[in-house]
Amino acid sequence: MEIDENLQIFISEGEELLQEMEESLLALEESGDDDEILNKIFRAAHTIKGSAGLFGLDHIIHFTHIVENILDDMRNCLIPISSELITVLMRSQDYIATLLDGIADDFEGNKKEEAELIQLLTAFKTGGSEKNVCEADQAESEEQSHDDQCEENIDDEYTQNDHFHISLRLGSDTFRQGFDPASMFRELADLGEILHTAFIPQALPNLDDIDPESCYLGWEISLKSHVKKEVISEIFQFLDDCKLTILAPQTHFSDYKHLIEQLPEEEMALGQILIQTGSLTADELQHVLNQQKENIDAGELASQNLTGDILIENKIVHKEVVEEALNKQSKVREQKQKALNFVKVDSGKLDKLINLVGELVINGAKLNQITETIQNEELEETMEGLTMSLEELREIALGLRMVPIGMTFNRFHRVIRDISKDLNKEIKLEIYGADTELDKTVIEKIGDPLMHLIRNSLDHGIEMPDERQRAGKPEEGIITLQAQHEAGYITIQIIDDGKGLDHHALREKALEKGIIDEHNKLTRQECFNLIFAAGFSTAQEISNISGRGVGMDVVRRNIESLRGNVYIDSELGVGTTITIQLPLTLAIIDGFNVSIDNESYIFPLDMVHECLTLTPAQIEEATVQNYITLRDDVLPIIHLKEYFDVDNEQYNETYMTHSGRERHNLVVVEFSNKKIGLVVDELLGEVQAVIKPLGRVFKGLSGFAGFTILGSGMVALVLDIPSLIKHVVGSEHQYFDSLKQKSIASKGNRVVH
Amino acid sequence: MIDELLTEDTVIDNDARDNIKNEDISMDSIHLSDECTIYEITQIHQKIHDKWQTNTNLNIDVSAVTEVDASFMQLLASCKKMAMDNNQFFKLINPSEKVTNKMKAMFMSDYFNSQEIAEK
Repeated sequence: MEIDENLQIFISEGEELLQEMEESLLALEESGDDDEILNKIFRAAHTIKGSAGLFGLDHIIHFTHIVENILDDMRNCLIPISSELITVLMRSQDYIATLLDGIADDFEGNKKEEAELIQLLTAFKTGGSEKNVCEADQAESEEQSHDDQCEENIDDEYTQNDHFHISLRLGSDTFRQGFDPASMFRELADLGEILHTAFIPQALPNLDDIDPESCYLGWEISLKSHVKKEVISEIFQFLDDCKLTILAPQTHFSDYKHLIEQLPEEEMALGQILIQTGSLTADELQHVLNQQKENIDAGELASQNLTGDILIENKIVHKEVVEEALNKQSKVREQKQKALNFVKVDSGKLDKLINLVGELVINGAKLNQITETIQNEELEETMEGLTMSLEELREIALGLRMVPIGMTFNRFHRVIRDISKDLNKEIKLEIYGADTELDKTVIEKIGDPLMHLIRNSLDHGIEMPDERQRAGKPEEGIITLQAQHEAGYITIQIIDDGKGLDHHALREKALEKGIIDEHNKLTRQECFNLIFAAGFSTAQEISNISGRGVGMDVVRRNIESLRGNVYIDSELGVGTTITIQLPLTLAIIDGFNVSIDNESYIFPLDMVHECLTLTPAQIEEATVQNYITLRDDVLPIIHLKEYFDVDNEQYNETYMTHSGRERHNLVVVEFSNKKIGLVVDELLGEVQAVIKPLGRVFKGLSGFAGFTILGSGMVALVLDIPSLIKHVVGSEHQYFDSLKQKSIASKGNRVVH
Repeated sequence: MIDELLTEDTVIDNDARDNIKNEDISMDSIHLSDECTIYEITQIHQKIHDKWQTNTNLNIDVSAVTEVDASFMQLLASCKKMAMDNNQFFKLINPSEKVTNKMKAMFMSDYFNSQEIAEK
């Protein structure tokens, strides 16, 4: 099937609705019974069904209709909420997702699976004889209805109507867009009882003047239903240019008042309050705002043209509801109003934008260099302005691609629920830092590695409840997912309070598998990292969750391909922490340019703590040992020239001759609370670096995150500071381990002798 | 689509054949068949319009219509409006099930009252 723009919107919104549905189903299972959550789930299913109807996707309508019926019965307390039912509904939600995925390929679903799901769903329906499942609720609602009755008596004027009044005028392009009002009316009829309809031919031209492909149709419809106003509005959401007014039943008036009272203490425009509480639709508001603008253009005073007055005058919202919203608004007036507007943009377009900005940055750097050689004051001033604008443009462009990691994290609620049920374990997921933002490209690629790590924690990390009880732990295990920003990087941690890792056992296993030999002396940290070696698995039994030893090496490779790092720390009996560090963006960074042997290298500026020239005493200290004393602190150092094995004899001769003596500059970098000093020749200043990946020839080269092109056209390597720090820390561990080994050996010798 | 064999010109040229096929087709009648959707609506509009130019009244035979959409129902509504505005006479002859169903689904049955709908 050809996917046009409207269908693409339907698929993308359908996926979002299914995600919401999953989250709500999990929340419903947790809460046991919550009308608001149940309504949310119902709305999601209903919207998908309704929208599918507009595109003639009968197979989606058919299946979603069955799901919707079950949800409706749940809302009406005819089917009790149970974990088993939630499981079947989640499977149904997965199946709808498959149907949405299959639209492009005309795949109408696996009929066998569909039949099984329908059977499971209808079994709940037929088995659900629990007419009394909410007797208590009924008693409560009777009590409530008494209160409502009292309230209704006050509002006599509003007790007469118990139905929605829908006024619909279709836009002129409705037919050309392929929409059929009859299918929308069918959806409407599904929501309740249609009491009255009136076809409105007033806008219809006679035969001489009509453009037969344009639409002039309109209706007035009375609908008796218990749904919210927005559910009705959603039926018509894809119609461009249609005028829709929905008057809610007056019997809902007290509900609206209650909803307004429940709103958070944030300042909102009157329209926002009414939309949020369902007493006004976005289209109605737009209509009112347009009218307001027209009135002002016509010379009417703003004070005589208030939104609330227009809403009441046009009988769109009841006076009391408007007054309640205005009361709410005045209560929180001191806070500033925030109006959020979102535009959906194809991520491919953003990628193109980022690439273009990258090219602009490179060309800007070239232009800057040329400007410096020309030495024209006016040109320099213009260049300065251009550079500032470029920096701002870069920040904004990169910001567009940043999305909160929370959406990725939330997926794991379902994974943990399903797997812990399969494993008969009790596991809870805790999420921190869900609003931490990360480049969309990185987020897309990190989902699978995270999934694998979490499945491992579920399967191997968290113990069975009885085992945990014996170990004095609560029966319910906790997996924590947390994210935070740190110097241009994001740190994601997967923490479990399970049995932890035994580094001796890991070493034994690696020996047994031939991954290492007996001569390999590994630090504790290195033993943990063995988990990421290809073919390594400590699981006693191979399960369908994990334990085949394939995957953890892929996890590491995937993370490293994002210029990230992964570390494991664990304590036996206490738990395991897996830390993933990823660069915030893969595209453009603020860099610090240095030279070693006349070649440029770029440091990520976020990690540069300070720069200094080494004193002769420090040079002496640095020559004999790999650290210096800086302001009474020991600072490990790396001579980058030696570390990268750079040996440019010609340069050395020239440099020594011209400078007379060799200078050592030190760049102190900091990451993850660890500082090291990197010895370089010259400090060249800040640059904007567009990071490009290294070619295949350089694969496996540690210490570099990529390369960039400088303004001069020269290529500069971008340093991977976390891996350099990791190298130093690893060397330190090895050094201290070897000291420990020597000490043990000497003690042993003494005993023998 | 329009049944080309039964357009006005053809009716004049082939009176005998017309009489055999549909005795009720007269000078102020038009017979529509098969699909009457937005793909054919401009053509249908033109035919009805042309027919009405030369007649005061109009009967549209929709008994053989197999597929309709909202644009066709709108066109019929426009015919009725024109008839009402100009004190003319308009009738739908023997509407097929598809036509009546669409009329109901679009809440237009009340608009086309019994005076406009005739069963043969």
